[in-house]
Amino acid sequence: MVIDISQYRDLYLQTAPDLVNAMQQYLNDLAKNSNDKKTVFELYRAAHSLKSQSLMMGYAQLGLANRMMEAIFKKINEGKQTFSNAILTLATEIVSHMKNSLDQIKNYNKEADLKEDIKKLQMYISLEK
Amino acid sequence: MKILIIEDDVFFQKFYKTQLEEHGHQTEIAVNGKEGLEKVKSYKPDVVLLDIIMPVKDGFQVLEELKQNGSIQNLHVLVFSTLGQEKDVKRALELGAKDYINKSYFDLNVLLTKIAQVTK
Repeated sequence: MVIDISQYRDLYLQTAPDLVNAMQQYLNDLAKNSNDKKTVFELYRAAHSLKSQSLMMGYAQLGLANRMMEAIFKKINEGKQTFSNAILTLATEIVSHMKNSLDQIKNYNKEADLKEDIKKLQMYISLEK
Repeated sequence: MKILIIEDDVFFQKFYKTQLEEHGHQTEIAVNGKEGLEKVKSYKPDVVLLDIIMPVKDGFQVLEELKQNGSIQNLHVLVFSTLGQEKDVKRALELGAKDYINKSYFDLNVLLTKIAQVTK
């Protein structure tokens, strides 16, 4: 039994942009109040959802980038890391690229190249260890 | 079989609902752990598919409450996991979940087989 996953593309293109927009909003909110634990949790949850959806749909780079965003915000949520200007700048840039990637999927059925973003996130995670 | 899907993500709610119903199962959705616990009582499912990261009450809290009130023994709970959640799965199994489903690299055969296995 092999599922034709493409039948869920429209559903993905309804739900994934909402998650990216929410992530953008949460980052804006955290820029004003970096101690808002509820917003940190919601950002972590959105990255987690976008990771799972993207991997299932076969968009590996979006999945991996969100896997790293999830890991970063999980640590912040657990109090093991602080929310800094560095992560705000990096996450804001990457979320904007994720938005472009979803546009590319919508228009060309192909995700954008996020390798540089993934490298930056990897570097951030390794420096924070 | 009656399957309760406790999952906050709309994409996965619809995905699992359509796939399971196409294969002859009845489904009910709960959007968070609190609603899930209520529907365990009212819907009386044969199998519960449980997400871990959710608002209001997460999957661990659901398992802990089911364990405390004794209903975990008669329920077949499968937890959803994704890349990077290996520790979460271990904890969920210790709390009484029967098995887990990887939702990022989904295989329908695996899901249907696990549902059949846990209810044997």
